[in-house]
Amino acid sequence: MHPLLGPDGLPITWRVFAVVAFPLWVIYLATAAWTLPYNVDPLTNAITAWSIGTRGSPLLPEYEAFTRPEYVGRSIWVVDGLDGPVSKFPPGAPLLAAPLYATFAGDVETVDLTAGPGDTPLPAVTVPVPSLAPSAIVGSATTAVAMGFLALAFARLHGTVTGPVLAALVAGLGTGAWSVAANALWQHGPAMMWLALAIWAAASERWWLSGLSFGMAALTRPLAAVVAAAVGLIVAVSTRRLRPAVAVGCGAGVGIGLLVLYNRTVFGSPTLTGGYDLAFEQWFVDEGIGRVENVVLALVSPDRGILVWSSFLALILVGITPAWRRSPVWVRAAASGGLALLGITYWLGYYRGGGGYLFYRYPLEALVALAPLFFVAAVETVRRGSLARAAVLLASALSIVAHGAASLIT
Amino acid sequence: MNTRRPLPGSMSPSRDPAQHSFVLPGVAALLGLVSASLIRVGHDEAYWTAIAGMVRYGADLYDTAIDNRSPLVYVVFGALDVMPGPFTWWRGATVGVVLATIGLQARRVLPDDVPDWIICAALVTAGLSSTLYLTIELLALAGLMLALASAACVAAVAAAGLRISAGSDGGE
Repeated sequence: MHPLLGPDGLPITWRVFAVVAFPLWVIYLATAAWTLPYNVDPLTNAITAWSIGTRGSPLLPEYEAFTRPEYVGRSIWVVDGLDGPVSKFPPGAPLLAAPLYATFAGDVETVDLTAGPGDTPLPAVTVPVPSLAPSAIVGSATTAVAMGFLALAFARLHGTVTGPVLAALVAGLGTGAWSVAANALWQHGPAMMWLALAIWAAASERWWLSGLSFGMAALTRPLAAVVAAAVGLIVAVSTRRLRPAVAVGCGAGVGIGLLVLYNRTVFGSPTLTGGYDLAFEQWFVDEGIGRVENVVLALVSPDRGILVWSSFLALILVGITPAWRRSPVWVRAAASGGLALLGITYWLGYYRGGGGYLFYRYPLEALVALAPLFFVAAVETVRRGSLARAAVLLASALSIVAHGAASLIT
Repeated sequence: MNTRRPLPGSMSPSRDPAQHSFVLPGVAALLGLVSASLIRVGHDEAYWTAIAGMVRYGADLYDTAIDNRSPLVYVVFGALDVMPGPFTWWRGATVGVVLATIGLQARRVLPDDVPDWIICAALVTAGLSSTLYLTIELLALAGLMLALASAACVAAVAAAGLRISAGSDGGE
């Protein structure tokens, strides 16, 4: 009897999940950033999580100096809220780490926080910085859990469990999941976890769970709501059932409602964007590139290209057409949402996505939504013979090496 | 006409895992050892080794010996540093062992129609190409990563007691 299969021949859910998530979590923890120096975005999330966990409030009065225009985004992303300085990011990621900070607050050090690269050098500001270990634990754990759920979703598409397990391990090690999401408390790890849970729930027709998870993903990274809309509507239309649309819509509405309520309370206006600066157009003007060029660079540029640094994705595109034809509707719906999310992300955001990390990070959530279709495409590709298998193997190995090295030196 | 049929229960030669056991990981390990031994110590490696040395002589990690990696990184590089002989030789040996481990696991996991030389080429290319990825100094780092990746596969297989081979799965 195969140890991952039950007496009925079906995968044992918790075993398939654990055999992927646990080893990945151990690896992620070993390579994560445990202390300063830390990237600006996850440092902002970590400090907010500490504040919520220990004081019950996202307000960061000690960081008022960083709301001055010349400091914004140079050390942490703190902006003026209704009642004081607050992270510009949505609360989803800090909320996941807050319980850990409430339980294991650890030492709070007084640090001279220097401003990162910019037009003018700025003096350091002395502020309290909590232990970053809880953030490393949550960032790595959520990414590992995301890959566990992806393995479960893959297992629903394949007659074996070996293929899904290996595919989930490659997804977890050969992409920015390792080099970025698992490295610190970015928004990516938590958002990927909620999206992967939502997609697996959709695969098993647990529509309410799927909707609630999509909502939590939106509370973490608001654009994730696009995937919820795609899954709910496409599945409902294709199957001519109202339930997927209603359950996914209402479930996701809970998280989206919480986000709007948070933004109303903290920033004074009931929006989805909260503290984000909406001057997207200015980025493209400043960098002197067009939006189409932005998308091309996101795919193939030497420093940030998705298809360069996870080259196995380029290879499995060979099987994408037959994969689309033979995939069930939930796979096509999630992939449509992922593609829309990818397009919107690069329509709005400059492809480099800031500095302080290697390779790519913006498309991570979209890649989770596209992952089931990519898995079917990978199966179709390797069926083309041993040369195709060898190429996918080689590209996967190269991607794993690259992202592993990047995870250690950033 | 002399037709020979295999005895009932016998395995075809291409499915005998013992045939693959030593040549593939041996070649990969040797190439990894030689190449990693020839490359000088990189900036990050030197820093991690220095931090490990400070801790060995009484400094507190993250307090008076300050860097942001996990303790495992300093344990690994501290261990390589205290071994007799050149650091690069032990680094090369580590990369060799890593490649051998991955080679063995890859042979078990992959179907028989993926030939040994392709797996070997993938391993060696992955090891060497890491120098192209992230400056020539980071091969050993890539080796460490390969070790961790391999550990994931090994742990995944061991935890479930999997004996992965073609046909032993649920079957599609």
